[in-house]
Amino acid sequence: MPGSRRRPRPRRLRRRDSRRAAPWLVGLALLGLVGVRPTWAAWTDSADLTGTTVTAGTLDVRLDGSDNRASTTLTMAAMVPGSSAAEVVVVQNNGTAALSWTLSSSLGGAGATAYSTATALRLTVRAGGTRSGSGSSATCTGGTVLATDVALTSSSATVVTAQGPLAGGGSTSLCVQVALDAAAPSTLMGVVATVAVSVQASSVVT
Amino acid sequence: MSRRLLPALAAGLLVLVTPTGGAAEAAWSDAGALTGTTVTAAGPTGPVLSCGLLTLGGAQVTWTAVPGATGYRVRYSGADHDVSAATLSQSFTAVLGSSTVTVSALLGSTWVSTASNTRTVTVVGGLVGVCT
Repeated sequence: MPGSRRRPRPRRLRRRDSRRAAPWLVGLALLGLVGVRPTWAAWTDSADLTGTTVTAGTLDVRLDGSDNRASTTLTMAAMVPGSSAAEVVVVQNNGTAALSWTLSSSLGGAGATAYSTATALRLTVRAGGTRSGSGSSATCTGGTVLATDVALTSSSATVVTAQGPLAGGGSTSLCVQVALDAAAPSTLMGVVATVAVSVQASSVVT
Repeated sequence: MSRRLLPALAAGLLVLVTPTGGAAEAAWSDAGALTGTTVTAAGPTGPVLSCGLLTLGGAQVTWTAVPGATGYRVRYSGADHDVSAATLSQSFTAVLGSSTVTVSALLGSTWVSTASNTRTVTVVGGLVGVCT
């Protein structure tokens, strides 16, 4: 109709206005909450536990005071089947932390494979044992057997499983015996090998 | 699709980089070694045989000591004769005619070294001995 003016629908306008106003109302409400937050005036006090010092321990395993202890009586220059050599070694905890230890051994040198294949070289370890006899007829006697006639191989293998714990500053005596098996084949005549013995220590929580 | 895969990939990565094990695997360690042990089996080389002093009515052979020998096996007149490790000579006074002699080292109860060189001993009538 000419001259007629379209009037906006008031109901829709009011809904749109209320939607726009809602965030502002929430914001004002939050602001009000912050503004009226009460101050904490409660009394406080504290007590301290003092004098606690922590010091890391040290781990240092040695054989008779050395990291690389040279054997003195284990070498045999002319073994025959049944020959054996023995030596007493002291495992020392030169550190402050308690440790557990294992002993492993392996063969090296030109004849390592031959001895390994024949399983002819045997290692025996006795805790607290003593060396009896001499030369290539020395054996370990007494004490507690930790390993008996374990065949040595070219690859390093654990001979004595975890022992301990050994407290810091503590020590334990071992008798180590190397022997050529009585049934070793004659193909080993003249064969030379080296025997490596190693003690591995790990810290333990006591 | 990729948005759905992202959380799964992230979780997998976390599993891969998360350290495993507890205190036992983190223990300190140290080692000590017993070194310098060399073992050598005796043999197989046998002794060296020589002619010894001529004796009245016989002959003698001697041989070198073999390291580790627990005895020696002297072979003459077609038979073996074992002697102790301390014995390094053999006299022949009752051998009739001629015989070759060799010596091997006994190495324990089962091993025997190679034979020595050969010597020939001749004793004639129990009066004259020759070693060559």
